[in-house]
Amino acid sequence: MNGASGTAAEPGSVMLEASELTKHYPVRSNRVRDLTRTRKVVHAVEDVSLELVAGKVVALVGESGSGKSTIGRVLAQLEPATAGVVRLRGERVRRGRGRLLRYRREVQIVFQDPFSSLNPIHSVGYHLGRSLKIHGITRRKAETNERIASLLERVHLTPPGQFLSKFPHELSGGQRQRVAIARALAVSPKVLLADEPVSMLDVSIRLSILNLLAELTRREQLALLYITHDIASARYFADRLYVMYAGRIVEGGSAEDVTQSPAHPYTQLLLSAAPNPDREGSADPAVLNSGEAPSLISPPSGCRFHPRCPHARAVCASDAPPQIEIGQGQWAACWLLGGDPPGGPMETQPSINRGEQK
Amino acid sequence: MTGEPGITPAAVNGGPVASGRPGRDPAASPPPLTESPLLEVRDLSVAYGAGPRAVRAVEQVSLEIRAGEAVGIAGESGSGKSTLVHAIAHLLRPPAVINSGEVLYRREADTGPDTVEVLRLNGESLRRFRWNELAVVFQSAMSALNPVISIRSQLVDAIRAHRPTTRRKELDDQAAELLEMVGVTADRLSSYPHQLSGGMRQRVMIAMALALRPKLLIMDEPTTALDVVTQSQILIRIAELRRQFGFAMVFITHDLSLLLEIADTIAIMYAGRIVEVAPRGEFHREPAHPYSVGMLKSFPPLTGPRRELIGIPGSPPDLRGLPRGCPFAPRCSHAMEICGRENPKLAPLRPADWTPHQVACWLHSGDQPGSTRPAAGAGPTGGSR
Repeated sequence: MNGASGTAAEPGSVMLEASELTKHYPVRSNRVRDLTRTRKVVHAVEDVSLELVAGKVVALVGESGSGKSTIGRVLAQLEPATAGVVRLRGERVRRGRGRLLRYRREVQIVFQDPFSSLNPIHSVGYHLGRSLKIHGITRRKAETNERIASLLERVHLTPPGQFLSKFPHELSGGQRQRVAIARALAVSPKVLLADEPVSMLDVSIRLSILNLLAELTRREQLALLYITHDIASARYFADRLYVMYAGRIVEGGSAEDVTQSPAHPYTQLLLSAAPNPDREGSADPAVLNSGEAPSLISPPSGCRFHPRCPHARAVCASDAPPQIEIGQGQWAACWLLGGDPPGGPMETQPSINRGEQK
Repeated sequence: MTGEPGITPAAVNGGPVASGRPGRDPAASPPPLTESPLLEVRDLSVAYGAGPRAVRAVEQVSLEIRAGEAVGIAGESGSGKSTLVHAIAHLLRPPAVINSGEVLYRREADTGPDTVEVLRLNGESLRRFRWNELAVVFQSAMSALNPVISIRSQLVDAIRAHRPTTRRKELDDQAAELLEMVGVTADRLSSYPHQLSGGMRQRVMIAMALALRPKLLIMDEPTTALDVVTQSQILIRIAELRRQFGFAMVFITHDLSLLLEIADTIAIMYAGRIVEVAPRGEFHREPAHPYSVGMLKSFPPLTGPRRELIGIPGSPPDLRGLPRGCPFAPRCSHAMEICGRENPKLAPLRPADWTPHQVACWLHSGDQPGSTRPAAGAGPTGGSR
């Protein structure tokens, strides 16, 4: 069924790795440029490192404007990074025409909106056949058709014959997203970047798409990046979880550790704000005065969360916090966790191992 | 025969389905709310267009909202929830057609209480009804606010349109007070909408809606476009304002987990119909309709054991040309023969008790259809059309 795929990835091996990735977008403002000759930039992503592992789902959780989608777009080579390195199977990725096509045979992306990511004037079969043709995966027509049918089966659009000649408008949102996933799988990629793949879909069909992605990850040893604002679905679906705030990753670890014992004050805020019918009592009133996310044109100095942080102290405003290991692969970028930070004694914090700086 | 095993304990129809007298168990059920509801929707049907291709967006919906109550309506896109509240506020425009039903609002007029037929209001009476009695907050605050007018002017305009004699100084004070009520500092009064964040714009909309202290606030997905932290901030604020002013609220969302935190009563819509209504706690503990059960299981929990969830198979139906019978039957794992034939009516879950828990599902109809079904008046045969 999975005939044309290359060598299967070893379970657990790092497929795609980003280190110290930074992405700035210039702000177009003629007035500012003319007067001051300085260009303002949006600091969308700052110094982000993460690893995608074969057979595992890694979730990147953050609110809108946190830079999570920008990371997806940079990893998909839709945009160049301002700084930092991306490595595919340990090899540094460089840009260039022929290289890009080769890169996309290994790294594919699924977008949020299946209504705009499929061309309304082309059939399902055309969408899938096109990527097979562009990447030269199949040559003969019979072979192509066979492969398209197998792709549709892999995303549970069965019987395939029924869907081949359908157009996007004839499909439901969930079916469309399945076609988008099948198109991404056509080249047998090793890495799949899924940018909010279910947030445009009806609630009742979201889980079936997540379950499909989980199944594909396991069965085909994909390295999957799940970009989402919904931390509950990330807990359900992901093995590892990174939390982003204002362009930086503030905490990482196993999905269970991060959601059950969050270490960073922002992760704690995010969890107490998430709707949770099983929670005892009403939502945490501390959420009420927790402020709003900052502008990324002039992000806060030091820890970007410090203006909203109930535990902030002097050092938080002046220096970016180091990553503190908490144990079992969980870490957080927070001064509060590093033992006795400069600027006063620890406030009441959960007892954790005295961390070491990374 | 009871068909499929019940999906929840509630599926087992506990009490004797005897002769219709509401035998009341004082421990289990609250006393009946005897006061008449603030707003009553009776048998409302709304379609877009006419003829066989009409989209029947709302079908024979009845709903009551008591003074001060928070009713949450949950449903997926196309379930008719938005059309329903647009009808309640008399905001529908062609091609929407109200085919049947009425919306009754009980108003405390100077001459004593009287009943307003909302759908018959027009012109000046409708204008006075909106804002004074009922206000609506929509999802997109960006398009609801005028981009070229300052926040102060927009708030002042809303008040002055309804209280034309208010003096300028007083108007300004009220505008500032309204903003602070929703947690926006008064120095934002001179800002324009684009200078505010999405959360702040939505707060301004809520402030404006509350300007004339309406008795009923309708919120159509007010926080859907916002981040969770902002959403939570706004919901906590709304809960405070409700404690302070005691207005009733109809809150629409696709996010059932959110409703379980804020609503007193939950109504679930599917394919234009209300398929279940229940008090929040009871709904959470023992949802009765298979669709409700599936919806509750579609939200992965943040705490407790991680286990595989399945969601609901299939997709929401196309409202043009719904099949006969229960519209959920094609996706329902409990579907029986009758479900494909006849559409169940909304009826009390436990007809023997007094209960505000109602469900439209053959699994809970007490008897298997075919035999007589005494509950809820309407006989299952033939339907009403």
